[in-house]
Amino acid sequence: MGLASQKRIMLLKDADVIHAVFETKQYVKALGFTKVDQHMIATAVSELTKNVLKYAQEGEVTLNTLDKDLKKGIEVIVKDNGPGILNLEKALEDNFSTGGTLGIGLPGTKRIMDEFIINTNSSQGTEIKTRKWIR
Amino acid sequence: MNATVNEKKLELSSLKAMLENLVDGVISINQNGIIQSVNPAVEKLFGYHKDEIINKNIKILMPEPDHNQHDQYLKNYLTTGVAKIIGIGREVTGLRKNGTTFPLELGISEIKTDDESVFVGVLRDITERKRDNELLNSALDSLREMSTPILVVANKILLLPLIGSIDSQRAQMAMESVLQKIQECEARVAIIDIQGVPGVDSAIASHLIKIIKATKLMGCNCIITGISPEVAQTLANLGIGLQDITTESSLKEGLKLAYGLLGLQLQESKDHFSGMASAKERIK
Ligand SMILES: Nc1ncnc2c1ncn2[C@@H]1O[C@H](COP(=O)(O)OP(=O)(O)OP(=O)(O)O)[C@@H](O)[C@H]1O
Ligand SMILES: [Mg+2]
Repeated sequence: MGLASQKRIMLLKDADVIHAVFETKQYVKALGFTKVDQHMIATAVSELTKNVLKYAQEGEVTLNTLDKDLKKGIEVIVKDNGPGILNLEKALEDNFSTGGTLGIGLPGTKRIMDEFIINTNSSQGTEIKTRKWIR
Repeated sequence: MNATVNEKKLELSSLKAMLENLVDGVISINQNGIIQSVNPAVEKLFGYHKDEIINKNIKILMPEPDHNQHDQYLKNYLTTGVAKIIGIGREVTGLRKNGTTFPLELGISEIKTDDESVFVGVLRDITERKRDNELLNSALDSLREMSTPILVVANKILLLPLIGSIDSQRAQMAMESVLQKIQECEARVAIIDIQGVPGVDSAIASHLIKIIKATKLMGCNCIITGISPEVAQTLANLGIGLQDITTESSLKEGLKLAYGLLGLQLQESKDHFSGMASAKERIK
């Protein structure tokens, strides 16, 4: 298979979210995810990238292919240099939102993906690394 | 004793007044199909004076093939007891004096006396409803060419087909215009079709829920159609429950439901017609 291809998309404006979601769909389809999983991963990217624009103004999303021990999958890294997530524990709970919406973006994404790691602090912003394997 | 006679008289005269003023036609026939009585609405619907049709066979009000077969229908029912239309209600075609035909919804009940049966039919002209249906079909055709229109698909039914990605601005616009349209048209049902939305995340779901809540506050039922299995599963994983939301798999099913909702409401609001309404409920 050779080196896994990487895709990076800048997040500066609303249209970039649509672009990122579209690219993610193509990316996971090519990897061989089921239709339902394609949709779930695209939705996860939609959640995380929307959060970047809403709470950190700008950032970047990176898509990587995972290929180890006969397992294949996708890694999504969403990064920003915003204010960081102030109350991470609460932010991971259902229905917690400082933005007046449903507050299920982060917990929902965690449910959708297989692995989910958040690094956040007020000086460097937020980095969310999440993975899903092909079943 | 006098009081009960008076009560009966009062009851009879109020029944009579009701029949006289009913917009639906009411016809009674004997078991040979001979018309015994009609109310004024029947005269209007068919263009006959009642003297021209009383004591005639009911088939003069029907075009072929019913015209020729009605005597047989009656005979079959009386010998087998198997009802094709009695107590069920269905759509038939009426024939006016001037030769034109029109669609009717017909409900029949049987009144049995010791040795004879009288059949009472209630007829409603559904020309307009049919026209709405045709309107609907042509609306569905032009639908594909537009982006975010709000369509009045039938009297009191709105359709909001969402196509493409939805951001908060677009959702806000859609909400404002749908609420305004609901008020304008006194809509009772709003169908939001999301088949054309490429992905539904929590933000879009939240916009939809807001729109649904607002339409409900205006007394309008909201039906969401076009939720694909992928979207349904993703929403469930995100943790967005759809149990409080009326959904139908396809736009077609949604429209059917909308018609059902309106049909029942229409009939429930007229209590003298409740017999037919409950007959309709039973077929469902
Ligand atoms: N990139 C980020 N930078 C700073 N804060 C964030 C970031 N992402 C999320 N948050 C904080 O975490 C909270 C929870 O996020 P989550 O996505 O679960 O809900 P939400 O965005 O408020 O609502 P929605 O359900 O529409 O996503 C947010 O309200 C916000 O306070
Ligand atoms: Mg969010």
